[in-house]
Amino acid sequence: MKTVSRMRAPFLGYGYAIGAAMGYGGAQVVGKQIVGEVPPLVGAGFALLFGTLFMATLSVSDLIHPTDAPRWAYFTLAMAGICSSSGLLLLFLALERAPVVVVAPITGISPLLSILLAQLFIRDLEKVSLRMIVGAMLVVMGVALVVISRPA
Amino acid sequence: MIGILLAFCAAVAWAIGAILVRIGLQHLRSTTGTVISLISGLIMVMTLAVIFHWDSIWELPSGIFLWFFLSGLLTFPLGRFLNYSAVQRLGVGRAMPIMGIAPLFATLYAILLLGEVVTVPLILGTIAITGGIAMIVSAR
Repeated sequence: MKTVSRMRAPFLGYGYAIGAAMGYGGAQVVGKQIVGEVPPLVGAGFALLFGTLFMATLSVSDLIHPTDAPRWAYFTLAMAGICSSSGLLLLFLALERAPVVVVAPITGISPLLSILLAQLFIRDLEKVSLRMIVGAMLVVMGVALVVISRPA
Repeated sequence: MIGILLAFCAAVAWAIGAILVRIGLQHLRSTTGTVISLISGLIMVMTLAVIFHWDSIWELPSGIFLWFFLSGLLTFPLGRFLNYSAVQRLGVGRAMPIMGIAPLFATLYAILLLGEVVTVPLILGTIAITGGIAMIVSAR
């Protein structure tokens, strides 16, 4: 049984990653409907509010029962949330000053930067191979092509 | 030039966020991690929204809240929770490039739902993405 679960674990991870991409892709389509009517900051704020309420409801038992996790783990994740939101705000500001065909390929290099930072700071947690780096570069180039193929 | 710099800063912020998620989720479940990150992000974004768009908030049309709800549902319980779960299982190096293909899905939805046309760059981009993911998945 252990062998089966070990074999399944990475495939489940890939399923999660593709599911996340599908969710973010859908959010981009829905976001277009919102941005035309309200300031992006307000749209992001209310989307975050509904998302937080929904996730808090799903994980209420985790939040009620305390864990023995160190405080720095909570702090690290709170900072991760700040980074994600800062990225979103910087993206909006960038889009006000440059067209999407310029901005999207640049923001698309984020996975490559993640790999670089992982190699610099968490090498003991992350093993990065040349094949993964080349694969990530292909994905980034492909995403840039997809973005520039769309009408403005 | 400022636009390019801001876009680069956004990419850096997301990359740092992914590293912090990888570190923090060694000790917490991805559900808990998602909620904590959402709360901190909510406080920051709502504070700025109230400061800069106070009047707009009170003038929002009621119909827009359905779109907010849909956007929140797709981006956070679906997008971010699965994002964190993937980072926890695969690591940043494998999960982040795969999640980076979100614009491909946005384009596919636009073709299927909004009738956008298939173009040569789209086909080439899809081939590059598929090849890249195959390399990442098969990497040791």
